[in-house]
Amino acid sequence: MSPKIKFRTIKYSHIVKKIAALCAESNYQLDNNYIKLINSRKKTYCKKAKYLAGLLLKNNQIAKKEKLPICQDTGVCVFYAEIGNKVKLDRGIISDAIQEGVANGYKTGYLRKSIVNDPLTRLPNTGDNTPAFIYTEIVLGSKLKIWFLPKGGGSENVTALKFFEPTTDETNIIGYISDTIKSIGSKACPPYKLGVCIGGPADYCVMTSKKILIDEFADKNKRINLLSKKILEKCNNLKIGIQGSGAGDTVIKVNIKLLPVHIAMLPVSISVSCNAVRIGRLEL
Amino acid sequence: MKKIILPLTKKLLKKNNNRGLTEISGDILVARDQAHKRIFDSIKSGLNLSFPLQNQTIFFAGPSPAPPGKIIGSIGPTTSARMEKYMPFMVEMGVTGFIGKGQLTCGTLQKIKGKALYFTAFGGVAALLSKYVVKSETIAYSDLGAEAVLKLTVKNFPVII
Repeated sequence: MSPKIKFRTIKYSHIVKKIAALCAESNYQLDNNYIKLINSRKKTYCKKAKYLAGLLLKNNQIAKKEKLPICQDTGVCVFYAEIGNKVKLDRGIISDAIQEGVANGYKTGYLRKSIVNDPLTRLPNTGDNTPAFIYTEIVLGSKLKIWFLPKGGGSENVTALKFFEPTTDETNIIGYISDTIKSIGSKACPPYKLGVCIGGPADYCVMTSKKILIDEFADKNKRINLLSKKILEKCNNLKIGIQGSGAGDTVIKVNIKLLPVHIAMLPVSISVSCNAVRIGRLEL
Repeated sequence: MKKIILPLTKKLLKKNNNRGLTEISGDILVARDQAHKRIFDSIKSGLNLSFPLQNQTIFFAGPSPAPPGKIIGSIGPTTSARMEKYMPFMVEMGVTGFIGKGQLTCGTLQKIKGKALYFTAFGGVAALLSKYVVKSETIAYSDLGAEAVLKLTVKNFPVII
């Protein structure tokens, strides 16, 4: 018999409070990794691109200082929760606590409520930006880790999925990614950050391409870095540029994840983040 | 910097068709997806709108709520392509300007040419853009929440023709 598990109890109300704060704080500022990236890329830009990148940073400063969302579209709320197998709550379940936190955070943080309950009649607006869409995973340990991705509609609308033949060359996949960015043009607010998932069943492929917009979930190794660089270069040859100006980067970062795949399949999914990269991280 | 004072009259339309960075000042209407559909459906079924469209500029946007003490929350353009199918109709109804983001198809630009201007505003800098709004008022469809029609007064609001 395996030894008895010693549980760690987290208060439901504590999660609600933390999630509400996370919603507001994450919407009031750009992701730190992204700020570092913009600052380092800015050094290489021409005058026009420097000015436009500067606007993103200036906007970020105003938003942070005045507690305003960096973008009016405070998104659909996507959460990824890793729940340690030794974690239990004093009452209720984690996903309910997240929903309650979102409802509170979006009201008290003056964030836009962008969710309508019926996709066909378009009414009513749920009034508190719920439901949040939550992925949960049980992991070993006694921690509760939560990532929050407020995803804007404009960039979510350009998500792509294509099924290649398993004999397809890598070059064709890179070409497909670049063609996709070309067709998006400037409508999803470049410079873009891309999540590219290759492999898996279709639903996992799309889900993962979005999840890896959060850097820590992406693959990191020499081969991936090289592929990422090739995609980046090909997309930047399009010269769409910051805000569609033709100046600066079109795509500023490409995160990749390879998933094991069926012998008959080679799906590729692309998730796009606009220039307002917002990511919330919470560890309890 | 080139400046345009709204409303965009026929005379102003002719004068301002050069591409480039421009600052606009005056009153604009804020309307997006569902508001366009309602305006279209209302007029088609013979109903009168409670607000005029003649010589108006429509900003495709939905701001975040105004925190206490602020005129408006963050505001920036949404993707114009989704409103494109309504644009020629809006021009027929007297609208002379649109502010949005992203490119339009050649067909639409051709249809509105000479009758209306298309401006693009910067995306992803909505806290900054809120500073150019001096007045905000909900004038119709408040049941749509974030998609209600607003009348804004803006001062030196930066756009690209």
